Amino acid sequence: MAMLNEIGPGRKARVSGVEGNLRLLTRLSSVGIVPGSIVKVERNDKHRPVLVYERDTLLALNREEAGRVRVEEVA
Amino acid sequence: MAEATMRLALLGQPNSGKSTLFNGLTGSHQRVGNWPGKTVEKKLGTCTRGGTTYAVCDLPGAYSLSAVSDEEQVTQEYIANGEADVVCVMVDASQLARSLYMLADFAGAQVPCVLALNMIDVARAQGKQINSALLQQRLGIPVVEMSANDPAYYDALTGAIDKAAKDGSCVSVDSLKQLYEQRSPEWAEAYGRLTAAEAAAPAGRFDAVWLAAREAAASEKGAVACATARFLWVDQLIQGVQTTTAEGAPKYFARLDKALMSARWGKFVGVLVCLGALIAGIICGAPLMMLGQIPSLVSEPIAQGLISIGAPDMIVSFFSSTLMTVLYFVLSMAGFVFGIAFVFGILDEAGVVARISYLFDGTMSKLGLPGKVMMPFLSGFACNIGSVTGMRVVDSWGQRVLAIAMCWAVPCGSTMAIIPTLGLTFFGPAGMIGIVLGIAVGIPLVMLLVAKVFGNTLAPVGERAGLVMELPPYHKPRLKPLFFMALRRYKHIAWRAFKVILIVAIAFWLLTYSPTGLIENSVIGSIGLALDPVTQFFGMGWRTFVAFLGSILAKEAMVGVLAAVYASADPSLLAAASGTTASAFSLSSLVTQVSGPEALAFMFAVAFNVPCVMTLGATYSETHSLKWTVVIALFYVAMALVISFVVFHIAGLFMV
Repeated sequence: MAMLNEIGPGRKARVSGVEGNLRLLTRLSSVGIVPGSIVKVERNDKHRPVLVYERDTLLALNREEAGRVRVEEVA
Repeated sequence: MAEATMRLALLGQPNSGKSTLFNGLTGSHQRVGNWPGKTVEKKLGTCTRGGTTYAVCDLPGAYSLSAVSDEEQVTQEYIANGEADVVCVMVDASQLARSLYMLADFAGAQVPCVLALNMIDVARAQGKQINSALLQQRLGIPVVEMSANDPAYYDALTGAIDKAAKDGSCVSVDSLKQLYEQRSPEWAEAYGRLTAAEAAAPAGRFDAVWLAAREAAASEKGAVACATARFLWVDQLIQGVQTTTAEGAPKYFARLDKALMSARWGKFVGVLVCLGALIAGIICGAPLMMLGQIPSLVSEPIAQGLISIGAPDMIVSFFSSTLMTVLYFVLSMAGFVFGIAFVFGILDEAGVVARISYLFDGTMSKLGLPGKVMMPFLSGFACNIGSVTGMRVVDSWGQRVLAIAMCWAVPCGSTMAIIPTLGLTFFGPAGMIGIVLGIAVGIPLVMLLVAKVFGNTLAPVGERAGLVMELPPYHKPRLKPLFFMALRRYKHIAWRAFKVILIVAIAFWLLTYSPTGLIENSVIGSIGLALDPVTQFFGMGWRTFVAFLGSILAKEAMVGVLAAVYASADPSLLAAASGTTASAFSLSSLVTQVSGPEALAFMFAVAFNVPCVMTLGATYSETHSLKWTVVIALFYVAMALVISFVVFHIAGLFMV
């Protein structure tokens, strides 16, 4: 079990949950970050938003918000 | 003959190309305002095509209809109240799997609907083939492939809209209903309850399937379950509809992204892009800015002509000086705005602005702003008008006003020419460097202060966008529509700014008009003298205070006013504003007349004063809020006086 902001670039992960209020939850689900979705981390640089690719889309998530997305790495 | 009018609403997530379509359809027939009581922009426009007049509403860009943000609430209410005859849902054809979520969230609304698959050109370039006929069959509504920036597609779109209105075709929800039922017990419970009650009172524009989903989404578990169901529905929907044949986006885009996103070079490349955009904007605007020279050229002949027909002095002064100054200001600034609007428009449509946002998000989120404001902020070092109008790249109105209020703090090119010159005259090279450093420290402090004072009203922490942001695929911009968009901005801002500048200029002209040519005999001279004890308190004598007020007109004008008050030069407006009086005026003569602390206080006060009347006009034009324009202006004048006070008293401890 890890958080999305701890996943290295090029790795894929399956979202298992989001720790946050309803607002963050709704916002993340509206762009496709829901439990079960698989995201590929494109870039994960310090002090920068985490760049992930999912559902044909390149998304930038603030580090803090990415730190609230629980994920499991997948091969 | 009266034409049929159809009320059309555009619905889509940010970056779906909604605003491009809105501008393309309505052109200059737009009215922009605010939704009552909300910091959300209301954009209405009309267009006539094939005998039908469409009243188009560009609904605020929202990610869903969940009503957590003001934008979403406005959108939801608009649809619920039945204010649209047809809703056009716009999605990004190159990102169907994600962007169709909006349609899933809209499904259940009993409003005829059309699905526009925008950016079909990008999708094709990425090797994606979309079978829209199959999609149309599954959804039960017209589906149109299009590219919002290409008017060639508009006839197909309006044709589909007319058809949807005629047939009353709404999105088919049967399969979505099944998925909600399977996934969310919260939904099933609410649905059972609602359908039992519906028999008595029919629900408004949203059916029980939609209303049950809204109720279910009130709990965290229900919200996740419903969102999951919607994405499953989207996946079912595009099964077999979308096929990918080629490798994806062209390679050079990947290389550009590598340069822009690089951990080491990214910010550097980003700043270069911003500065390049600024220079390109100035070059594009230059031909129009040249028009500003005409009023200064004709000012003298006008004066001669008026004198020869025996017009009174005051009239001559008004027409040849005040009015020409206003026109000079307006034409020069509007030309610059055109250039910035054009270049920023190109970068925004190309997808570059979103990358800039990613680069600077970390820094700017501390101020409550998205990272893309970096681009307009940097333009501010050339001219604050550029930063004010460049803020159009910010999606949310509240954040845009906040960003505009902050960008006033950036010292523009003229400020950075005049203040160091004054500093050098008074305090020598070392003193000058000290002053420039002091101003540099002041910029972020003022921005933080603005964020503190206005941040919560304009961009409540909980509602700040930019936490989760989509980076759209690079997209080849179409220059022609962007050119006309910039030209419309040119006309729009020239007119709006003219009104503001004229009022301020007339006030200034009345205040500085002096029958004897000496400023002591003008209204402002006598007010200044009377207020001297008060202004002394803030560290400025009446003369420097009058020059401080003059700097609101334009930073260059301040030197003219200094010349007028200290060397009895011609205090007329055009002379002051264009710096003609100042050229014969030696700043060094000031050193004996103004004390060190007062000079220092004055310089800091001017640096952080309202930038100029043109920025004021641009702010009014961009925010379309007189209230906020005045509030921000008063804030800056008050802050400049406080800064003057502090600087004067601290400096007084060291220099006597």
